[in-house]
Amino acid sequence: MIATLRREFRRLWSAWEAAQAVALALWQGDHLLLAQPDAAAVRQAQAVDCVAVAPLGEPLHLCVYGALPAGALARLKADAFLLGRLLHKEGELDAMATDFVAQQDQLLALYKLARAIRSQVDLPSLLQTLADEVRGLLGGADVILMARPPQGVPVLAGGSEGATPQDAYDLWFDAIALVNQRVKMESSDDLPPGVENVLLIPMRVDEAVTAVLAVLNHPGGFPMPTIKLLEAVAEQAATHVENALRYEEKLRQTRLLAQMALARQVQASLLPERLPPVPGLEVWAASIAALEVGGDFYDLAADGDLAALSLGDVSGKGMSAAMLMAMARVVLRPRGRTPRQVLAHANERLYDDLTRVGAFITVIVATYAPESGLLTYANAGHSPVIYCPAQGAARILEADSPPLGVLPQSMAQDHSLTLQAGDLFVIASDGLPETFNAAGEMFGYDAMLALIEANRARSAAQIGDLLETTISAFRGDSDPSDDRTLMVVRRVPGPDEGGAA
Amino acid sequence: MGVDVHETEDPGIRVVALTGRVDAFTIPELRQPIEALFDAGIVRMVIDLSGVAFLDSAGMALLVKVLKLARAQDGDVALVWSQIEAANRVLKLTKFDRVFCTGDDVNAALACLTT
Repeated sequence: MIATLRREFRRLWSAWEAAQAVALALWQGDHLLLAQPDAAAVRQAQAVDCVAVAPLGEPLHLCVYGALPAGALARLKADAFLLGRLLHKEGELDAMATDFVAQQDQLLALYKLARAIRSQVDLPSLLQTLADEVRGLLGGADVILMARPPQGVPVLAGGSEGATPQDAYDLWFDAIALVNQRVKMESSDDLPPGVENVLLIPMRVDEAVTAVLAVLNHPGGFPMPTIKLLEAVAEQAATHVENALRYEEKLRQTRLLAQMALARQVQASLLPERLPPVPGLEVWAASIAALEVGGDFYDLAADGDLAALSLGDVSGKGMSAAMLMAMARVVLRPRGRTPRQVLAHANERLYDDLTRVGAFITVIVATYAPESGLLTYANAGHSPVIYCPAQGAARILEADSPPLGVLPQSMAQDHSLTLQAGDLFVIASDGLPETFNAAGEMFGYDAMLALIEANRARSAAQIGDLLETTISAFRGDSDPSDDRTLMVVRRVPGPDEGGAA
Repeated sequence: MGVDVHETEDPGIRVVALTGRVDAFTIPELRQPIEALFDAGIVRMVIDLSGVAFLDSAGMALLVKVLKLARAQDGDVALVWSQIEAANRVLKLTKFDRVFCTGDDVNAALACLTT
């Protein structure tokens, strides 16, 4: 019994004592709670009047003993009312104190939880930590955390004997996402065997439910304070889930960008920064990568007294194509061998790697002797390779071998032609003639031949530019689906005007 | 885009008829029935391209992959040319006609595998 009540009781007694009462008592049923002047006096005396002390639930009675004046009952009633009020206030205070302590406990728990999950940046370990912490917080319940990232598969943590995290996800996640509020289910509801009760609390990121906290088999069900606590936990955890989701998304994008950047870097580093001058030749080359990194490459280098050039296309896109292109470029330098020998060797070196990734390489390799104008080439499945003499029709020089990586042995043979003054040798990736416009029409090989033929009097750079711009204009707004790589080689007209382009 | 597998008189040979576009986008679906044939021990097949309208380098890579798988198990793959010349052009320019035995129809292509 509380001190204020005792004090008030003593004060009341002084008044009654002055009025000749022999004792005053506060009874709880048969139990004597307070007595004045003492318990013995109460037991020896005869009660004159007893009244119930309102308004507490327990049956308390205030009794007065002795020979009393008239009006004592009314006074006793007033005293009982006073005590009742006092008790009521004390009760409220008690309840507030209990609430306060409980709140402190919850704040402490939330603080601990916050500290535990702060260091978890990835979603799976965040959810696992949350599940462990909430289980510890409740003591004797199963906890399942479920999250559904915007991209990718659901992430689940925790568990219950009655339901696996996957069960819980299949059963409840969509429903909670739909109703977007907490749901409590007891044994009377349709619950899987082994699940006595369950509380499902949605965790929202940007108004949408992206995660659900499920507490299963909590002893005693879910009274309001437990629900409030778990909602506070869910609200706090949602912030961390959001951070983890943002982090994963950012990580995903960063990886993607890094891979693309790396592939572009590899590709760019493999294309010659500038073309070495070749006596008597104008050479113009450019490679325009499609949105996604492809595997086009070209090269022009001095090879002893000769100039060696190559242009090719690794099937497939992205990093694997870029890596294969890097390998291809190394083995495609002639170093004194004829183009046929180069391709035979390259096929041997690359066949297994190409088979492993399911790719192949179309490539033309050529050597040019500035003295004689002799151009020797070998072609493994590459097109278009165009020869346009200063006089006469432009024509496609077809490959005699499938691409590298298709058959264990290359079938490519050496072919030769002598470039006369004004003759053109144009090689491109098939992305150029096979450019489609919005109507689905292809630019075409014939159009390319005609364009070259009609402009053969121009310089290599002019012809290259013209091909690029004409084909770009043909494509219009439709997306380029493939890399476009072009090399225009022209023997300068007349030895007197010779020199490098 | 589609893929149909037909039986032939020879229980060890199937005809795989592709239709529509054979490119990077359709290959994931086209590949599956062909892989199922290898799983079932079928290593000789005719790939019928007569209904194919478009074939890109990813489509050709698929043909090469199937061919390598088959030949690694003593099998072989023959092709039926497309009715669409644009689809054949890429195969011819790339000299795939030197890699595969080809025919203008299924019977001609089947002859590649039985003789």
